[in-house]
Amino acid sequence: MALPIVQMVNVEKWYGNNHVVKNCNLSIEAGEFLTLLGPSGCGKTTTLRMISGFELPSSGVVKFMNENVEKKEPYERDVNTVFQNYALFPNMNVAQNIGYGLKVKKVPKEEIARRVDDMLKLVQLEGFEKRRINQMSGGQKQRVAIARALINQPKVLLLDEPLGALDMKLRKQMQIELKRLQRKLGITFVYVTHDQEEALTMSDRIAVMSEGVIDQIGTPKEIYLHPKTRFVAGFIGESNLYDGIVREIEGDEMVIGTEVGVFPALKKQLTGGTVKVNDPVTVCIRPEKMKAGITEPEGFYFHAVMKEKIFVGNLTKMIAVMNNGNEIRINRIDEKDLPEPGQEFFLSWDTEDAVVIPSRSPIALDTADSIEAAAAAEQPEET
Amino acid sequence: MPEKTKTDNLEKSTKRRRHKREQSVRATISNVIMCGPITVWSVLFILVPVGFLVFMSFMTKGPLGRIVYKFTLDNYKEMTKPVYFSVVSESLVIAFWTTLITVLMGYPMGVAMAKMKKKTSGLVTIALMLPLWVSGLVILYSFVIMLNTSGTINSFLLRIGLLSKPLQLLYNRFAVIIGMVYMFLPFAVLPMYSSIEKLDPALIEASKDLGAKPVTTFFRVQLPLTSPGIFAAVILTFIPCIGYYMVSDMLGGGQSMLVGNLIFRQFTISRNWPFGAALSVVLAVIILVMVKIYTKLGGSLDDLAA
Ligand SMILES: Nc1ncnc2c1ncn2[C@@H]1O[C@H](COP(=O)(O)OP(=O)(O)OP(=O)(O)O)[C@@H](O)[C@H]1O
Ligand SMILES: [Mg+2]
Repeated sequence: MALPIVQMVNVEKWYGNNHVVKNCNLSIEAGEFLTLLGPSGCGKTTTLRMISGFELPSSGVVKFMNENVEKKEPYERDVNTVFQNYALFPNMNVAQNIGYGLKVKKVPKEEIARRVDDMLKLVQLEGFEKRRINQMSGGQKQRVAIARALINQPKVLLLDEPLGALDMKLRKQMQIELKRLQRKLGITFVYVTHDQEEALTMSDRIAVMSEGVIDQIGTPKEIYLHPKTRFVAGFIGESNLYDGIVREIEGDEMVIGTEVGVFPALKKQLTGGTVKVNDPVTVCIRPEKMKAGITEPEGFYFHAVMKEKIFVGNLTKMIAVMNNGNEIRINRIDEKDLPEPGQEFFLSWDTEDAVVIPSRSPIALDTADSIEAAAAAEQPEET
Repeated sequence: MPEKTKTDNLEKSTKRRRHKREQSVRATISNVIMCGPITVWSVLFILVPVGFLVFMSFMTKGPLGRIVYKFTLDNYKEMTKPVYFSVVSESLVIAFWTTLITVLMGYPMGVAMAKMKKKTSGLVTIALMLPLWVSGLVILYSFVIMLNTSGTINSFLLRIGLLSKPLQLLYNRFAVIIGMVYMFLPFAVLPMYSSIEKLDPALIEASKDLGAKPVTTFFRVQLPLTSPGIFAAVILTFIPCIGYYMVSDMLGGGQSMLVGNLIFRQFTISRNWPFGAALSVVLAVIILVMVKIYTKLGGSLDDLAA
């Protein structure tokens, strides 16, 4: 494997008593689009700022091409940043903003002019050279900020929620444009967002962060299909999550006891470690994998009653209630053969659609009790 | 033709009258009540005195400092005499150095204050304003005590043997400038502090991120973006500096005559009120022009008030 362009090794960051980034290990490959995804306050910006050099790690090292950059000031690092609120210089016009990085490096005037022109073409802002920044729309400012950061031809471009201030439609459009730009230029993008859909759309790899910890790094598909922690499963996409314990392990199969009942699962769908009998786990089943049958299916199933059906355009979202009061979310693209609200139906799923995630901490006692109770109350009905 | 204008006028005036009647009496009363105090205040304390000053500047000086109410332009012509040029140039030189030193000292103070926590910078602001609550006279006397040939500084330097004979620190331009700087520094720091504090730190970071070293960042980003504060500081120092006569009176020892002293003298020793009034009017016009330039360059009057 080629040398990672940026590497964070055992990086910790404290602000006073606040442990903001915890044991961060991250290898960023040249040319990839890596997204740091996580809820607000989880330390994404801080991580990015340790790469750009505006913050120093409390411990651990940041390496560029295997070289420790601790001693390098931000202006000496071969990265550029697109700031969250653009941070364009209000005292300069569009062309001056874009050319700033070259001007401070004393590049000859003609070359600056030429490269600014190239950049304006790249971000489709020809003719806006002389505009003042306060006369530009949000989307246009965004493009100026990107052009300004790219003119230095950095090896790595850092983007901190660059689309946060744009409306939905423009956001979607810019997502595609940014991705296209990244492919075209072959520059490494490190992109920060708290929008999971945006992350799934754009990234080659996603690093999901929660409370300063990178829970999982992987391709959008891996992250979505095989979440390694309960947090990742809940944060990325919709999911039905059930805490439980492993009751039996036999060959490729396991039997899981959860609050909704006991059901089989596959060992190959186990993510994030190994388990023994009686280990706590969380089972994740995506709403689109849930089956709501009017006729009795083969294999195991549970009885449930349809509670609500919500039409949201491209799909129908349903909420059903199981006999023990647990709510289940089900999504369908077509409305064929679906139970109506109030109707009882057979709830099931393919065994291989249930992802089993080992719990880091033992589940609380009362949950364990309720699992026992549930298991006693409802056994899956096999045919 | 005249007939037509007449009817036109008639029509207009009836319209106006009707309009007046339409305006509800209650609205008028409330308007008067609301605008009343401030209107009365500005007429009484601004318009009347300034009007009187302008009026007086066109009057003739009578014997024994009396004022003869006869129109004349002599007061303004008098000002073109070379004697007064030296006064003006001395004023400008002192104002220039005072402003320069004040801004150069004040800007770093503003930067330091902007870096502090809100609470600390509030305390520093109060500390800065503290000398302004003490009478200027007391402050200037303490400068006299300090700068005297037998004063604090001289006796200290003599005692440690750095000097064999006391330095003449008082009663020269140097003393006046020191006094002026002391007087105007707080006024200069506050507007600069407020514009430095308003500067988005992300802009400074963006500059560094794009490869600019700290010095380049300062001159290309920080300085241009905080220039309104610097401008305000310049205006707030330069202008009062020209008119402030107390400092040069007490620390200049009559060596440096400034415009302010000249005006003061007309109203006191020389008892030539019309000429003093004319000088004041010209000074006021110069100041207005400077403020106008300031606002034209994008400065806001609110910054001056801060
Ligand atoms: N300069 C600082 N001093 C002290 N604490 C800070 C500082 N910067 C950030 N923090 C704290 O560090 C934590 C992580 O902040 P960070 O800005 O990295 O979050 P984030 O993931 O970027 O969140 P968001 O999505 O809201 O931007 C927060 O709890 C924040 O309060
Ligand atoms: Mg952030």
